[in-house]
Amino acid sequence: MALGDNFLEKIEKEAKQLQALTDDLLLESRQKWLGKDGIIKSLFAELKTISPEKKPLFAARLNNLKEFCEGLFAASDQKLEELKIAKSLANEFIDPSAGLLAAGIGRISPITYLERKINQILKPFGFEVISGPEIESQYYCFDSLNIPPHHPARDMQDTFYVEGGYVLRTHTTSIQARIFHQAQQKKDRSLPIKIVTPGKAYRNEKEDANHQAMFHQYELVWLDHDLTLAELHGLIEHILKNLFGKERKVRFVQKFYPYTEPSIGAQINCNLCSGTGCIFCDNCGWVTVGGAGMIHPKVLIEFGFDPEKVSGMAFGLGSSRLAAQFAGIQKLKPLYEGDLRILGEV
Amino acid sequence: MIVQLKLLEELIEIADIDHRTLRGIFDILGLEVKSIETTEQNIQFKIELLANRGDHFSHLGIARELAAYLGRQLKPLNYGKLPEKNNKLSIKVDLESRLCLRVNLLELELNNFKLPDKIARFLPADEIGKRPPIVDLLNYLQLEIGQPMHAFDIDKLQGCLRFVELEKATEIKALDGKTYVVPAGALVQRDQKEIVGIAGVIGCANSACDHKTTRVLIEAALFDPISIRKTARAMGISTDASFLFERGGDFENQLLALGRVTHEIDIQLGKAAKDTLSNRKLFSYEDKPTEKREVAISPAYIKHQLNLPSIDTADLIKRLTAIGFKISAKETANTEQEIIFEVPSWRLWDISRKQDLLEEYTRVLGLDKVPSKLPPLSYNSPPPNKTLEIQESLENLLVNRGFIEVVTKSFYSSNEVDLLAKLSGDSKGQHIQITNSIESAYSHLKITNALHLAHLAARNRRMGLTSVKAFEFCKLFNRKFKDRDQQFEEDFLSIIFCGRWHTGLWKKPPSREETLGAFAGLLKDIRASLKAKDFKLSQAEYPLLHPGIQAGIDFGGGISGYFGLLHPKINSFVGINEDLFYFEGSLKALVNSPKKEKNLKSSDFPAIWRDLTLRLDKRQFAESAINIMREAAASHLQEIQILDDFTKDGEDFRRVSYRLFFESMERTLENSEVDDQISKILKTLENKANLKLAS
Repeated sequence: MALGDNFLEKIEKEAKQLQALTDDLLLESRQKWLGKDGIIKSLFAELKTISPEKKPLFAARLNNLKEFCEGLFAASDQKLEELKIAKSLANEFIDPSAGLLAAGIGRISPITYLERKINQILKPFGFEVISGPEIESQYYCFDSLNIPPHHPARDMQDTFYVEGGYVLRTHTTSIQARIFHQAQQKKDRSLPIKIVTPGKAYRNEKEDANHQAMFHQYELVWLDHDLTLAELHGLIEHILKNLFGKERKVRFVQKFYPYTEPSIGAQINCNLCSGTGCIFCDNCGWVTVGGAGMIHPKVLIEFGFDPEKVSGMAFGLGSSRLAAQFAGIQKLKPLYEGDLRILGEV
Repeated sequence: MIVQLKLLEELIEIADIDHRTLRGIFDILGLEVKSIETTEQNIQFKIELLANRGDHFSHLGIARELAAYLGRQLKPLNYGKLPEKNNKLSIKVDLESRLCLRVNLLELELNNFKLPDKIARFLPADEIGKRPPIVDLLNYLQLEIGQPMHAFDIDKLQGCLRFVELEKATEIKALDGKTYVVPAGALVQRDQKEIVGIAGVIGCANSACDHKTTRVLIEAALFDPISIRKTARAMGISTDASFLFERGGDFENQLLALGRVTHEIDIQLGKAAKDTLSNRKLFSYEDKPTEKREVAISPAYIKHQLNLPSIDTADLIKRLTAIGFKISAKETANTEQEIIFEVPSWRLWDISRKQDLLEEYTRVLGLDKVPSKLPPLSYNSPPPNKTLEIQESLENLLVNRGFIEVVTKSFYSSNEVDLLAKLSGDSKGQHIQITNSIESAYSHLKITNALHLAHLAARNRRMGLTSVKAFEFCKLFNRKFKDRDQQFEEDFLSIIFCGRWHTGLWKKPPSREETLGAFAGLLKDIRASLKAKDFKLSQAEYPLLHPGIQAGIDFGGGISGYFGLLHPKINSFVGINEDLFYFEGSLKALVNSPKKEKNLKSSDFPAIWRDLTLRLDKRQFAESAINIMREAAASHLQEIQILDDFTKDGEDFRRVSYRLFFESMERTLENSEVDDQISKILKTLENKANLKLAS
C-alpha cells in the first residue's frame, strides 16, 4: 500500500461509508479499522514514506481520520451496551415478594420493658436498682417485716417452702429487709436509702388465667427524714401517669400489709373496658396495680431506725399485671407461656 | 364475705345510694368487691376482707365504716335483758386454759322458739328449717354483729363443760357430719366423757342441738387467735367462727350478743318467754379486764402527712368516733396540738400508735381527698448496676438478631427431674425440692433452663412458627451453688434456636453446620458486645447436649457456659423432631469477664498473610489449633481466620484451612520473618497437639 493523495482520499471515503452500517456490522469492522493491524495503524506506519514537506498535512488528515473512526465506534459501543442492558432488563425477573428472608427483630418481654421504663421514670429521684435471692430465709421474707408465724397475713401469700426451712420469696420486699439489715450490720445510718427491686415472687396457689404461682413485682423503697403519705401518692401517680399517659385515672384504696402503716392500694382505670367493667377488672372498671404504704414503725425498729426521726415509703407494683395492661393482653398466662406469636407483637 | 344490702339497711340508712356507687365506696374503704349478685329481693356484694380486720366480718362492722365515710349515724340495735352473772349453771364449767380470753355461757329454755321471718329472709332459703331455729338465730347474729356463738344441747352434755387443751391428736365427728383429726394443743370443750366442741372452730355432733332440743347452753366467747388459726389449719377447715377469731374478735361483744339473743327470743315468744325467765342462768368469765388503750395524734401531723391545707378537728373527731373511737378522758386542753383517742374494744388487736390512727382517718375521709405531692428530685446519681447494664446490652444485641425474650417458670415436675438425672448420670442430689407445692408440676426448682426452652420451642413450632429464637435471663437453682456463694441460685442467660435462622420457608433451610456456625457467631457477638478479652470454645461433656455437637465457652475466666445441639432425648421428651440449638451461660461470668484493652491504633504498613491447611481428627475442634497458634506466635500475629473445613473422600481426618495475618505497627514485615513465625507455629502445633500440615 502506497500512501498517496488518492489512496488516502479513497480510505477517507470508505470511512465515511461506515456511518451507514448497522451497529452489529460496525462492531465487526472495528478490528479492521482500529485493531492492532488495522487500517489506521498501517496508515500511520506508512507516514515515514511521505516526503517531509507533505508529511504534516498527511499526518493531520490521518489524525482526523483516526478521531472520526474512534468517535464512530465509541458511539456504536455505547449503543450496543445500552442494547445489552435493555435486553437483560427485559429478560431478567426475580420476584422479591417470594423470597423474604428477614433475620427478624425480636422483643424484650413486656415485663422487662415495663421494668426498664419505670427505672427510667425513677432515675431523676436517684433510686438504685437492686436484686436479691429468690430462695429466701423466713426472717427476711416474714419475721423482719412484721409478719410473725401464724399471722393471718400469711394467708394472703401461701408460701412455697423448700428444704432447710427456706421459702421462695412471696414478695420482693425481702430485698428491702436485706438492705436494711446490711445497713444495720455496718452500723450505717446514712440516709436516704432509695432502692428499687424488680424481680420474681412466688405464691403457692392454684393457677388460672389470672393467677400464676410465679409472677413479677417491682418494689420501691425510700427511707428518709420526714417522708409523707401525700408524697407517696405523688410518686405513685407520677409513675403511673408516665407509664400509661396523663389521661389515665389513678385512685387509691385502703389495703392491709403488715409491713406498712398506713397501707394503700393503687388502681388505674381499666383500659380494656375503659372503666365500664370487664372480666379483667372484676367488672369494677379499676385495676389494682400495686400496694403501697409508709413503712411500719415496727419494721423500722427491727432494723434499728427510730420511727420518730425516720420514715419510709414503699410501693410494690404487680409488674406482671401491669405489663399485661400495658401490652393489651387480657390475661397473665400468655406472659409466662412463651407464645412467640404474641410476645413478638407486643 | 357476702354483704346483703337489705341487712345493711337495717343498720344504716343508705337507701339513697345506688349499688354501683356503694361498690365504689366499699373499694375505697378497702372492702374489695369481687362480684355483685342482684335478685328481686336483695343485692349481695361478695367482698374480700382485709386480713387484719376481724371487725369487718359482720354487717355492723361494714355499717360502721360507711357511717364514718358518709357522715351518718348507725341505727340502734335492741338488746334483751340477761340474768345476773351468778355463774351457777345446771352443769359445772371449768376453764383450764389461758387460751380462753372471754367465755360467756347463757343457759335458757327454748319453749318452742321459732325463727322470725324478718331474720329468716337473710338466711339461705334452701337451708331454712334444716337446722334448729336457735342455730339459725345465732348464725344470723354473727352476720349481724360479728360475734360467733355456739349452742350446746345442755341435756346432751355429761356432767360438766371443761375448756382444755388437747393432750394428743383425737378424731371427732363435727356438726357438719364430717370426721376431723383435732391436733394436740387445740383448745376444746369436753364433758366428762368426750370432746363436745373445738373452741372457736366447730361444734361436735354429739352435743349439737336438734329440733327436739328444749334447753340450750349458748356460748359467746373470745379465744386466742393464733391457737384458733393453728387448730383450723391443722384440721383443714375454715368456718365463719374460725375466720373471725383468727383475725381477732371484739373483747366486749359477748354479752351484747347474748343480749341480742334474748331480745329476739323474747320478741318471738312474747308472753311465753316470761315463764322461762327464771330458768335463765349466765356464766361469765374474762381473763383480764379489757384494756383501755389510748393513742394520741396531732392534727398537725395529719395535716403534714396528708398535705391538707388545714384539718377540721371536729370532723376528725366525728369520723373516728363513728368507727368506735372515743375521746379520752385525758383529753388535752388544746385539741389543735394533740387529741387522745381511746381504742375501741374490737380494734385492740391492731391500733397502738399514731400511724394507725392516721390510717383510720385517711380511710374514712377517703383516700381520694389526699392531695398528691411529688417528693424532691435527687441530684446524686445512684451507683451503676453493672449486671443490669450488661443484661440490657445483651438484650439489645439479641433483640436486634431476631430473638424474643421469654419468661418461663422456675419449677420442674418430678418427671423432668428424672429425665435430667438420667441424662447426667447423677442422682437427683443437686435438685432443690419444694416441700409443699399444691401443683404437681412444681415439685422442684429448675437446675437448667434447657427443658423449659425446649418445651417452648416445640410448642411454638407446633403452632406453625418457622423459626423459634428465644432467650431468657433467669435464676437457676442448684445445691452446689450454695457452697460457692451462700445462695442456692445464680443468674443465667439461656438462648434457644430452631427452625430457620431467617424467617420464611423459601428454598432449602441452612444446613446444621451453617446454623451451628450462625449460633456460635452469635456468641462471638456477645463477646464483642461485652468487650470481653477472650472467647474460647473447647470440647465439653455437658450431659444435656448432643455429645458430638457441643462446646464449652470461656469468656476469660474459665468455662462458664455451654452451647450446642440439645440431647436427642430432650427432643423426644418435649416431642420435637428437629435440631434445637441451645446456649446456657452464667451471667456473673459474662459480667466479670476480663475486658479487652482498647487498641485504637492502626498500622500504616501492609499486612502479610499465610494460609495453612492442617490435618485434624474428625472430632477435634478447629479452635484448639487457633489457641496453640496464638500461644506460639509473636505479637505480630494479628488474626487467624478459618478458611475452609472439608474432608476428602476416603480420608478419616478433616482438612482445616487457616489464614494467619501478620502485621507490624512500626514497619513492613519481611517475608522471611513471617516464614520463621510460621515454622515456629508449625513446630509447636506438632509438639503440643500432633497437628501437621495436610499434604
